[in-house]
Amino acid sequence: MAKKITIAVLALLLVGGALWQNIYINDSTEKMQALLEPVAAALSEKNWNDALASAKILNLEWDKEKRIYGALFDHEELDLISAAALRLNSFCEIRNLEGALSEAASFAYYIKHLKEIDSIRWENIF
Amino acid sequence: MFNVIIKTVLIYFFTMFVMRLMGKRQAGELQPFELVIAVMMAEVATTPMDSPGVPITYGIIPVAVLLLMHNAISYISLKSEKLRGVISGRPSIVIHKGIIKNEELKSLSYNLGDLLEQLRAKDVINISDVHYAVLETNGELSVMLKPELRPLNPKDLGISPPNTGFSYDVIIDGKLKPKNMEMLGFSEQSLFSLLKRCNISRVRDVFFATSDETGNVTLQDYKGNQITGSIANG
Repeated sequence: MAKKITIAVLALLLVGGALWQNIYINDSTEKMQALLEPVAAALSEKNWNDALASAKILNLEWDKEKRIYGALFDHEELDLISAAALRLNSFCEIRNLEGALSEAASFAYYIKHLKEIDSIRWENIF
Repeated sequence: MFNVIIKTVLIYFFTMFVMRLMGKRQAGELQPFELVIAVMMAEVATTPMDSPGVPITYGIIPVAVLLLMHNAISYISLKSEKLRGVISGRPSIVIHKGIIKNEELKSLSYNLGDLLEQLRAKDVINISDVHYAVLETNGELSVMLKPELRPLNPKDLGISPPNTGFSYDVIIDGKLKPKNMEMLGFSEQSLFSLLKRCNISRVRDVFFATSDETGNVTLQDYKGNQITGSIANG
């Protein structure tokens, strides 16, 4: 009986955990994408102060999310995002528009990719 | 480095816990679906162990899923004989009344060399001694010798040996096992009386002691002295 209960609990944890992860990844990637928008908007207006401030906020939020993401994704994926965020910050500091826009695009792509890896899709299964 | 050590320890204990939940059959002879799970589990459990960048969940979650699959398949096998046949296969009689079933061997891709090897492993050197041989679904060969060659048992001789029942450990490594004494239906006092008669003053001086259901005790102390006695009238 104890064994059956243990297995039932394990099954619930597995399914519940998977559902939670799915919802969490969706919400947090949307949040990161939303945080990137002010950076992109400021860059398009060449408003470097706002771009840098927004990039710093993005980096701080990413550092928080990374702790949970570390348990869910391969760290190599996360390192790419961290590197893009840091480079975005640096390009905003030195006011390099091409570099900043490029890193912003990279960051957006990697975040979207994280969401895609987690979703149930043919490409992810096969 | 510490991360790898910690992950290895955690995954080891989790995998061991899962193997325990899978039951005793895992440690012994495996059905095909169990063999697959055992092999896969070994592979997936080690994935995060030696890769610092791979989260521990990449090892734990697949192992947990394999456990659930094992339980699901075991349950289905239990409830449906038809599906059991599909999942585990069916035993095959490869020797029937002393005759080797060549067609059956061919259908199993089981050659005569394999059959002879398995027979030798069962201490059967001469294939003509075999009355029936069944190839089980886990790959084991069950052998029944011809009646004139099987070992004699008391019934053949018309003898009724005493029924001593099962043998229980009552002392292991100097520690008394009260539950086993209870199963036997003898009091601890009767065991202590026996120890006293054998000039053993303490339970912890006894390396091991076993008793059958009739109260016949075999015990050995740490010096290697083995004594037999009875607690039946204790």
